[in-house]
Amino acid sequence: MRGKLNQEMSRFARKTVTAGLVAVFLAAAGMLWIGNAEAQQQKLEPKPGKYTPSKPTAEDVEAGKAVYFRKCVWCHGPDGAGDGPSAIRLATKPRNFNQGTFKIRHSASGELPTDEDLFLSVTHGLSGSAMPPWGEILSEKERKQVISFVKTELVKDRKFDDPDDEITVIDYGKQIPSSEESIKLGQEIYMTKAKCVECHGVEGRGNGNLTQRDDWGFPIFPADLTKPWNLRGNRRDPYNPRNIFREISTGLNGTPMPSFRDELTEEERWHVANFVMSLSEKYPIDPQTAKPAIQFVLKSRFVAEGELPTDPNDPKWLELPAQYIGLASQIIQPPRHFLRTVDDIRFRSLFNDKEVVFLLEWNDRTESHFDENKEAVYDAKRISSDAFPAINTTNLTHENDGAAGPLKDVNPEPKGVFNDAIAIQFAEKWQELPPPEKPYFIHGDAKRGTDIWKWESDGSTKELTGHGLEQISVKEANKNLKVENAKWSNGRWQLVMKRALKTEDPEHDAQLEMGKNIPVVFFAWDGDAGEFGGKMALSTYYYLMMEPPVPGKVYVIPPIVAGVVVLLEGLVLYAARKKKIENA
Amino acid sequence: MAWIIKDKMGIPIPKIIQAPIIWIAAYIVFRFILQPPIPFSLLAIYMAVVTIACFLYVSLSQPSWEEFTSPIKFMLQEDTGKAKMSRYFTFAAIPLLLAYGTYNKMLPKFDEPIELRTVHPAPPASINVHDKVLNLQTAENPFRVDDSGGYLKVGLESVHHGKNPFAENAPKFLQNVRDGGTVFFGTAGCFFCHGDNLDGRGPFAFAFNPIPANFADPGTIAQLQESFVFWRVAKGGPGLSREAFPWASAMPPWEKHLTTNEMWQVILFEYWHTGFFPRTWD
Repeated sequence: MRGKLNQEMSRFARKTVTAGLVAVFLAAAGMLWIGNAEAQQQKLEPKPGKYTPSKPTAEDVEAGKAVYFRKCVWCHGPDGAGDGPSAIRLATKPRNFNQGTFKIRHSASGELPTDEDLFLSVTHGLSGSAMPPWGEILSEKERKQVISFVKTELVKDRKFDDPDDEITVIDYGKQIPSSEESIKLGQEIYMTKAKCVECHGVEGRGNGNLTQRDDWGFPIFPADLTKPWNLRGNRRDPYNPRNIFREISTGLNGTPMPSFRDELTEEERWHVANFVMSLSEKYPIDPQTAKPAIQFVLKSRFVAEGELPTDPNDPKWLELPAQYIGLASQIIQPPRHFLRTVDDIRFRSLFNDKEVVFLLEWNDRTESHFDENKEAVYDAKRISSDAFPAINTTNLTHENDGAAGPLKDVNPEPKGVFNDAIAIQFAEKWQELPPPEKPYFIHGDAKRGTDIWKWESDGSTKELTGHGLEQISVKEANKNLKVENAKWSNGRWQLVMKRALKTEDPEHDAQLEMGKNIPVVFFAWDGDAGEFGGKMALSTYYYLMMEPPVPGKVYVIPPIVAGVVVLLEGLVLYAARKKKIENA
Repeated sequence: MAWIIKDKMGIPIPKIIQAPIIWIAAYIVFRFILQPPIPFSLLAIYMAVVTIACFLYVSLSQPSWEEFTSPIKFMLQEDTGKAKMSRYFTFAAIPLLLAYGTYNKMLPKFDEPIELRTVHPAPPASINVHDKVLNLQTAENPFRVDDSGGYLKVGLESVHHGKNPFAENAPKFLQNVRDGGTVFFGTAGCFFCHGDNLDGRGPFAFAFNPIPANFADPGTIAQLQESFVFWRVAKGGPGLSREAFPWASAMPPWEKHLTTNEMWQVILFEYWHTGFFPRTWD
């Protein structure tokens, strides 16, 4: 019996070892596969050196034309001049193909792009613009056909098959892995030798030179390097320094961004790429949107000891990572606004038994204060130029009448500069609303009111009651809201806002409770983009969760459970032993 | 499965391993593979049945039961090094696992509340748009017509799919597609949310909850009547019934910004662009 058992057990041991080996093999295969995905991506890139573009066949061009007039013409226009119907709405205009000027390439500055570059742009889209990833809609064949059509028919001023118009593909060389030292070297080059700082700003938020124009005469603003998911050439792989290395090396044709291939050595460019990558928060990316994945529950942490912080740099904030809140333009109700400049807020919050405090941080290239005589940095000129003389407004609409006829300009360009501002909106008496009911997210509705906490850059804090965009009134009676700290520096606002959990007017002020999902909405205004009132950036609903402190019993009960189990085990063992002795 | 491996492939698996394998496989099927996900109470009932079945399976015959219990007995009753090792390991692992499980259960969790939103709620019988009453049972798209003005029954318009709406002498149908596209991309700016490729992932989509509808998916406009889509376009988020969360949807009520004709044209464009046909009663 015993020998058999031993045999049994050793067989079992062998099996376990085999299973372990299989598991290890599978894990290794998985790692290889992930590594392979990166390799696949790099396989799609053109090889360094001299490059000859492919010659499209007449059939491909014809088939590509059909694809173009179904899917692409709406932005890029019937003649490829970047003047389709959407062009009047967009800042980052659709590409005008006629000149053969393309931003995202592997070729040297000023040269035409390679076939692979165009294929990658069509496949992955261009983040931060309206160009979507067509790889999910068009087959590989269709994508190649449409590129054939664009190359031969729509690029008019240059010829891809012109032997004098040569293409040299850049070399990535030997990638230098990121390290503290490399980042420091990169920062040094960024600040001095390469002068990146002059446009992109000290902390990389694109708040340097804001008066430049692109080749077509449209205003263009330096990229905010702290949001790599918005960079055109990120290929939906936003944290990969290769993308930055490539763009530093090739420059972005048609824009003020030059190539640094001759100014900086290969090593120096890798250091700069590593520094640029160090500027951003590495949020997990949602593959569906290619933006940071959004958690719709915003956490506020309990502070048991000491005061709530009032300084944005207080280490107490580091209790929790900053949460990402995405913002869109208010294009829903009049006055519609299409080109918001604030596209996210970083949120932190703490509370104690009396008060709650929020730290809100958002990027804004300009510090704006109301001045009707000052010229705004972003204005309607953003979407017009000498090349687009006919289009001079974002607000063409049949607004509010639904009648046919010519489009009306309901919002003539606002004059001057407004205040930067931010607001958090709660629901009045949210505890009494039957879940999941809430007031309409844009400032409420006739039936359900909202409690809006708004700060403006003139230093004013207002508590407002909202029953919709048209029905907003200032609550004069109570001053519960305190803004402890608001400062703009290097293209970013930081604001600390505090309020008591309970107030004297529970009818109109949201009363905050811990352990409940409290519905909240966020709004932001950039005064230099003509934003005020209903012209703003906004979110939809989030939930604020003020986390109750962990009760003590959580640390007491599990050990008790373990103790009881140990006792039971002892009983089982005793019984088994007894039985063995009896059997013997 | 265990039986297949054992009898067909000649790899013996001890009963003590077989039973957990079956149990875990069943759990994976019920918890992750079965769609839509089943509620926890149901999962608990299923797993209880599986547990009983596992015990029945191992205790079918005396030898089978012996085989199942022998490693346990070995672990409890023997005093060889191997038995001791396995005993210490098991006796330490069980209380630790249970304590950790209890701790995890007791830790307060703050997940997003589960709110079941109806994506395609029942439409009203009729709606009032620009002072006209529209019967949603019978309403047809006035632009789904051929050059002579005859209504194109579903499928007949497929001759226009993939054709150039910007061609010099484009038929009327395609001219209306072109006007609809101009509304989608220009006047209205639908693409900011629904995307240039109509997949519901436009530049603003990431900020919205619920996310914009994906027209390229066979589960949206391909499943809906054209009049239903007209209702959604005209009345937007605020026109939804309570179970579809009218307070949360960022869809504008387009009757405020567009004419009735523009709304029908934009719908014609959406079907043409995705290559789908609206659903019909026949």
